Amino acid sequence: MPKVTQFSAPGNQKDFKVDLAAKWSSKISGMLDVEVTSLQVNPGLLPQFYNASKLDVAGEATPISWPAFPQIVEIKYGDDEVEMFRQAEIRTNQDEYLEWATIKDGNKIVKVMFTSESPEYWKFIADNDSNLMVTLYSKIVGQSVPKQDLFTSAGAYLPRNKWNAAHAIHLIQANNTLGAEINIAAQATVLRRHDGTDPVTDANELINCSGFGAAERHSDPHIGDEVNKAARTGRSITLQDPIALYIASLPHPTNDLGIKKPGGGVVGMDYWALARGDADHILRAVFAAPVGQPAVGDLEIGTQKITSGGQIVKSGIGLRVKLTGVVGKAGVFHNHTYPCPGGSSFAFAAIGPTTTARRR
Amino acid sequence: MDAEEVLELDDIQGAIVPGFRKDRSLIIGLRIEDVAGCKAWLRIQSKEVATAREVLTFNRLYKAMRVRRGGEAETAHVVWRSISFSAAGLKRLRPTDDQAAFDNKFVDGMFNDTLHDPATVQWKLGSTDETTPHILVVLAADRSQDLDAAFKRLIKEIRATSCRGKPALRLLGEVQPGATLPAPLTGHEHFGFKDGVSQPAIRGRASTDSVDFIDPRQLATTDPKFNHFAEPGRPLVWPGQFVIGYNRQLPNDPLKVRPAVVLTTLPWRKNGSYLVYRRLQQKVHLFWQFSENCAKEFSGALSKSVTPVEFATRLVGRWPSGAPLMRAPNADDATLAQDDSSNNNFQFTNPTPNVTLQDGMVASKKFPTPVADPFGRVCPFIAHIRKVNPRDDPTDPGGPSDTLRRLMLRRGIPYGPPQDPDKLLRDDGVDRGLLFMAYQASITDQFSFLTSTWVNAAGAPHDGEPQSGHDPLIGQQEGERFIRMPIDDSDDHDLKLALPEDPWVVMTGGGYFFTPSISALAGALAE
Repeated sequence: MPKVTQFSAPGNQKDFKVDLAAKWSSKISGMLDVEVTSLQVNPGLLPQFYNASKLDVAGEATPISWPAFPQIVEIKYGDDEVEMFRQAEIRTNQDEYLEWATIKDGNKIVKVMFTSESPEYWKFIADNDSNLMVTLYSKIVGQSVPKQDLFTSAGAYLPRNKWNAAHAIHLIQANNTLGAEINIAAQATVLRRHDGTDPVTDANELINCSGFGAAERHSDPHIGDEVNKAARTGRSITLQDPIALYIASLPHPTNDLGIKKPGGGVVGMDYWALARGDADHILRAVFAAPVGQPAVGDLEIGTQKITSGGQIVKSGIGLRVKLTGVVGKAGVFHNHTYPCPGGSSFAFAAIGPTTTARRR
Repeated sequence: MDAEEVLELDDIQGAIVPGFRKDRSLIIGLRIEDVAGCKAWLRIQSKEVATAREVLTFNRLYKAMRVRRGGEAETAHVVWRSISFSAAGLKRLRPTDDQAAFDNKFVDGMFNDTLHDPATVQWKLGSTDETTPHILVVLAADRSQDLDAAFKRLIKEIRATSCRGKPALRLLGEVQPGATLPAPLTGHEHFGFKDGVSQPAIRGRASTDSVDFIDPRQLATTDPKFNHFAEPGRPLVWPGQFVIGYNRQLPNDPLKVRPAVVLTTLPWRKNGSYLVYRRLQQKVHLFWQFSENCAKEFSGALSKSVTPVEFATRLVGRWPSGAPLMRAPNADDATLAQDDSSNNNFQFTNPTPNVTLQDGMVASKKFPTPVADPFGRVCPFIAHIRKVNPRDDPTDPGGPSDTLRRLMLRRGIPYGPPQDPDKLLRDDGVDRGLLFMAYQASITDQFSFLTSTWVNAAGAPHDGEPQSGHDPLIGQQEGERFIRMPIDDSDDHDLKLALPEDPWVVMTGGGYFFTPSISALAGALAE
């Protein structure tokens, strides 16, 4: 696979002009380099994770996906489904790299907006072109967004602004970061030994040993498990350009999610709109009724009306989030195992505190 | 590790734990015509249904007799009975209950679920609330004469519920018989494969005796896996995954508990369980026609001869004898299949560790050690046993500990006569199949999750590109279905085969039911 000459914007978005696009690429490259460097604290380790703009390594695209409904909420509140879905509507609880917000007409949901866009991307825009920030917000929201709603008087970006809260512009849950994705992909390439087990292969033992991510989520143990599985067979790993987290696909509302119109009619794919990204790299999707069709809040799952976005995320096969790795040939690397480092090198505090029981 | 609980076996129905394990069953659907009469009948039934204690005691006695006598001839005989309810049935009996306390899927009914089943117009029962039994009775016995007598008695009891000449209960649809297949297919399903080899073990005790385990432990207490497996390859699962009111599985640590649900509403749910019942018709000729045709194509791709049985084994993950492909990758092995310490002793992704048994012997030493198969080269990812129980494989919701949350207690039994083994490719027009029954504490997280998210999805539970395909055995997804069969170490060379539009396992009726405790039958449901 030839070297990446320039990392693309998430979802192949064309938000940037040439200079900003190049700067974003440099930022991604830098994030990868930091992780590669951090791997070298392990004596004698030849990093299996690499920066694809620096090395030309053959590999196959390998998507890794997971359910988007927060497992922590499911486990903590799942015995009371009303409370579970209420908790899942709280943005700080949406920690599987998908967040959503609903727009209601009275008490009835008319639109659900889903995003997997990283906070880093939007902070990058804020830091480099505040006018572009306002333009993008206004376009997504569908009305003019005042700049002062997005920035402090000193010019600092406010990610938890009211527009983001209402329209799910980008991820704001503290652990939903691009940095976390890259960190887990990199750190999970280190083979571990622990307490007589050599190598560690169990997903939870691995995450607890290596200190990347949180074992309570669907996402982090699974990403680490898949990456480490590949690493144990001596393969190289990196993330596929454009590096980001994506909504894996838009499931059919009736066939895949079990959503029906009142009276049992089929809900078509025309309820979905791909709002940012492309078909293989969905960053933002909106679920709303086409003209003349029943509102989202009139639709039913089983015998229940849709009263929360989380019902759509969890029903049937549910919504899923994915990243795509690039995995090289087996047997190239022969790294030995390393003991648990005794703590994570990664700080999960990119944006702010979280309300759920979290990292060690 | 958190402590194991003592289960209230006198209050749990024996169909759930430890399971009837009888050669014959009758499944009887009833509709409630008169609530008061039904409640009077239920009060009597609370003494008729089998308790977990009775069935466990019987099974232990039966096993001891069989061991001492060296066979099954003229051992003890008994007829067991269980009673379960649909959501509509419970609503008839307890109209003021808030059914939100129950699993959503149960309340909505199987016919409303996203299982990709055939159109409900083809179902024999359960296609609507009106065609779903309010009550599902299961009778089970080893001998047909015992079962017939028990059925006659049940009918007599139902007639006795009459009030002004009208019985309180009405039979709904046909009574469904089930029976294990005659030799040499005893213990096998109609396609010819040994069924029910792999079951989760309950991590719980039958009494306060610290070693009175409901599922006996075969591993030496000194073995590092002692707290993980009851038998080699048979994982221990916290009882709350199957019976409501007990500690449950944490998705990220198999030895720690997710505390039992607090039953602030409808406390009578304690010691109950959800029953999934599906009448699955098996079209044997379609399965073997596919295997015959694809074996030829597979032979060409592999450049060596592959028989239809060898091909079909890759669809199942086990040989017809029950020997697992992971331990017998090249040929069936009847000795392995009959060795209960070995026929389920394997992992998929990682090397299978040696385990020491209580007699000090290392299990499975006389059989080939499974080769770690993280990329589905030995046992294809689409193989039924790997699709529905990926064991130590990474999975999309989290991994091996999460997989333990998905397991169910399966209590299925075949129905219909076996197909002539010399005419497997012909459609003989006979209705045969499997009466799938499985108990669990959450239909949403267990049966429904497995079916909609794994069985009928091409890219789950195993991630990756290209997608490995659908469950070829029980998958029913409309539209394109396929499987990828490994040829060599590179998935670029996999043989991709389209599965036919008409599946060989067809859902023909069923429903979601709740199997309450004995005390609920006598109390809350009969008040």
